[in-house]
Amino acid sequence: MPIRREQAPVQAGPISPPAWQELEESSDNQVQFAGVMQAARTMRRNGEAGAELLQVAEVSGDYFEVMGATPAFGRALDSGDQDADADSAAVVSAALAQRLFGSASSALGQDLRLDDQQVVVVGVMPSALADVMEEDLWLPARFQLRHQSRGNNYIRVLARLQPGFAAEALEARLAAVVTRWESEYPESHLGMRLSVHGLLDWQTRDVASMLWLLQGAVLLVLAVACANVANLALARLAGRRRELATEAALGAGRAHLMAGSIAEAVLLGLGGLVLGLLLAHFGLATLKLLASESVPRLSQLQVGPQAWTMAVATTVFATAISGLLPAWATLQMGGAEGLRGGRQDGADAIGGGWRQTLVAGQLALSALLLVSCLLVLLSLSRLAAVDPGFDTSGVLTGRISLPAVAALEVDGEGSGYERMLEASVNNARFLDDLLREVRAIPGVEGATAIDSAPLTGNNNWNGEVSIVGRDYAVGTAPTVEWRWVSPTYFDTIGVPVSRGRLPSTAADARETVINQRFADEQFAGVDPIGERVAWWNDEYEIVGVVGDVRQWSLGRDTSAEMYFRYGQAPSPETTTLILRTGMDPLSLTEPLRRKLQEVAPDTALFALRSMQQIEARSLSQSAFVGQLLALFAVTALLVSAVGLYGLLSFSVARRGQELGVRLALGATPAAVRQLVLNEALKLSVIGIGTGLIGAYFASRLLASVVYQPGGSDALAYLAAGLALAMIAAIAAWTPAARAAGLPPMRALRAD
Amino acid sequence: MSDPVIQLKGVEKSYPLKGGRSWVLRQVNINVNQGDFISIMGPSGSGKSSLLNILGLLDSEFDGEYSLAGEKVNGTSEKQRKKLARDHIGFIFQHYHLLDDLTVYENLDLPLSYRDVSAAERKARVGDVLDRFQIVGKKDLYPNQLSGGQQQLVAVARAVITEPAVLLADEPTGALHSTQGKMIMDLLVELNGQGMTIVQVTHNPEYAARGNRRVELFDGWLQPVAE
Ligand SMILES: Nc1ncnc2c1ncn2[C@@H]1O[C@H](COP(=O)(O)OP(=O)(O)O)[C@@H](O)[C@H]1O
Ligand SMILES: [Mg+2]
Repeated sequence: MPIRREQAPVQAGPISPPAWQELEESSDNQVQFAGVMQAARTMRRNGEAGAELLQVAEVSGDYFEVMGATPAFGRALDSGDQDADADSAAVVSAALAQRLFGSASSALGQDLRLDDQQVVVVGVMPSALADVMEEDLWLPARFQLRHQSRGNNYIRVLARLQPGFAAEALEARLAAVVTRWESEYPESHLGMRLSVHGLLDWQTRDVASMLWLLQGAVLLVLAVACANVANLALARLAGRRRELATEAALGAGRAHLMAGSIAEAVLLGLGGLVLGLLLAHFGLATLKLLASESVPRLSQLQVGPQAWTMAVATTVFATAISGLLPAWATLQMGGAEGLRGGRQDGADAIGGGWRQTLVAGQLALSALLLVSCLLVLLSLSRLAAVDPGFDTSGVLTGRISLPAVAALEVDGEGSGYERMLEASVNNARFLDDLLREVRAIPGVEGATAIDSAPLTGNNNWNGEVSIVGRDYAVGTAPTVEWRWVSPTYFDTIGVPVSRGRLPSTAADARETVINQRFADEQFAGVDPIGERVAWWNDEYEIVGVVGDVRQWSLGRDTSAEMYFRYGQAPSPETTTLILRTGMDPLSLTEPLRRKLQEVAPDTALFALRSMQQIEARSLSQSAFVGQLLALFAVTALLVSAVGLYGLLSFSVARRGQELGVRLALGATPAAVRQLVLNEALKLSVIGIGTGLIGAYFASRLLASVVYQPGGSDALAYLAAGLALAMIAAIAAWTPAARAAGLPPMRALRAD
Repeated sequence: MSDPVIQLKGVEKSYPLKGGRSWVLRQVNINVNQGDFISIMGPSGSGKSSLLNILGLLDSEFDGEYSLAGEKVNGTSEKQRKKLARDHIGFIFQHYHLLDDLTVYENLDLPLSYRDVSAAERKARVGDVLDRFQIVGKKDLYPNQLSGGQQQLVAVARAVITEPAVLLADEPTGALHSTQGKMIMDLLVELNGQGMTIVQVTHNPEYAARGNRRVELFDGWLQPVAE
């Protein structure tokens, strides 16, 4: 179970090495902890050119036990590997082994170089675990060699609970630990809480609400379909009214009377089940394609025993629902009323009332689905219209690893800072040279770098800073996202400098620019220019204010940000190249790759995307939900239209005589048509009205996928209402026209 | 004497039947004068209802000539026939055919609602008829709350509320007990006495005798009954 540190104002995160050490030592026979630090490391193979960036997890000794994961070949890492003087062992994923060495088993004993560390492969994980353990490679963590500050949170914690020890018990235990930390180290731990999550819940947290939403939509469609089947069965029954009544009068028992309805429902159910499973089998690939960007663990999706069980259960349920009503109606009809030959009798009235309710219900559910679908689509268009704060056209992005990596620190705080700053200075120099070469590629109009590209939400660093001269109570200093950029960043990407200037290019300058949001939050009514921000070991002078950029995604507001120049502050060890071009940005991928191969062969280049691709990805979840909801809404709509059509056709047939009388009394065909249309109108108004009201209340469930619900949403209700009314009118027209064309004498004769 | 209200000349009605035709009415000639009370008799299946449907303009698919109130029915448009029917015809059916989900009042109002009558006039006429037929107390009841005789009474009231020139009644007493049947016949005689032209179909010789003329249908052929 993943454990997360929750501490305002940063939402949730990992914990610090000293805190981790205490947790690790508290492992016992009830709960076992594992610590993980994720990192990107540049890998080179001995004797070969080219570099590759790997997703690496540095894990504590119990990690594989806690995950319950056993390597397919070789051994797992254990606590012995964590010793500073042990040989460097590594476990690799099946995919990496396959790619590097041709097969999983032949990876054992091979050497790899990660940055400047030599490691030996001692184990290969099975490919079946790839969805749960997504890294390429696992190394033993040596947290003891790292910066031992309680404010430095980067260790993710996992726990395995022994049977009988509940998650709540673990939370209680953690709460006690935190209470102690709060009193001992208030400056780091005040207001902190450690929360426990299920691993699956945690991995699917971003999509859980979306999946529940879709589940709900599926149930609605199912309900609409069931209502339709029940409706059809009721209509058929009404036709057999006389026959049933006669049978009942002749002494047929309940079971005999109901047998027909039930057999019919079961047959329909079985047919539906077979068709459904076939559809699931062939539709799955399409679904995976639609969802590829937005749903985790998608590759595990299959029509297996679970799906079979669900399908059978659903069928039984749906069959029962749609078969019960008609069966019950049969019993009602079996009574004496059935024989009393009047034009309209009790049984018809009962069936008719139910049928009207069912059709109105179908319309209501369709309205609900349609509104939901439109709300999502409207939100999608709003989202697509959001100004990301920069010009996204003609931009290629690609992440690279930087050559200078600060070695693990062994001692005090200051020296770690110095080493990291030195690495940053070296990387700044490297970047300047590289970007100059990249700008020489034909077609490139500008090239720059930022630690993580806008709209990606990748690899963000954030934390508290303090504005020099202000006093903060513990835990109230502003939280800011930190970014590192090359000098040309703002110009290249098209972010305006609204006040002041950019940081100077001098390596020993300590200057920063902040975004508008930061300025608004911390310097309302005050000129931020000239103010100083304390960050780590230095103070940085604010020399300018730049426009807000959507850093996380189109749908997420900009946070307060401060930008450092590479070389003026310790910086992350990967960065993102940003190329501006007038051509199709993706056409630059190969030239860029070649250029890097030529001027910096040891640099790994990965995740090449155009900014437009990133933007589309930012929209993909809404788009996925929108597409599925549209599919559901259209299905429900068609089924409801058929239901309404069926009901009215039946009603016209049943009311033939009444309509004949009206015609004989002088009604015009138009008046008779209107009569049928009125019935449709009544059902539609009730059904659609209820559905729209329901949709209003259901719309808050859409909150997770709808961006900024607002004024234009009324449009969704209006459009859905109109569309449904139109479809109802179309469905009603044929039966109504048929009624108007009835010859009165035929209608009168039919008894 | 004025022209007959209804004039049929050589009217024939047939249904296609595999390979040939099945004849329901053959060479029917009849004149119905203003104030007549004609009873049509005949065995079941002899074509009585078919004839009444043609008279009531519910059926326009026949051969021969038909004029109603001096206007030719053949060859006119559907719309004109509908108008003719609205202006001149009232209908009573064997099974009353009141609308079950309308009250007595609403049933009476129904024919007026299909005609160009003002709301005030409609109210007045329905009130008038309720009064004349002594069913004021029943005006808010639904048909299934009435006896068969009462229902037929309402049906007659509904047929005459438009003041038609001709009242067509297809076995109006067929579903009634004899006392109720007598009551309805008394009512028809009374209406006839007030000048209404009536054509009724009946199986009951006693009721048939209350008209001023009797005709009989046999296999579609019409013949007068000797008095
Ligand atoms: N739509 C039809 N198709 C074929 N034959 C019909 C149709 N309607 C009535 N008939 C036939 O016409 C004949 C006359 O019917 P009808 O006028 O109802 O007789 P009555 O009212 O005298 O009992 C019957 O033999 C009946 O079967
Ligand atoms: Mg008849």
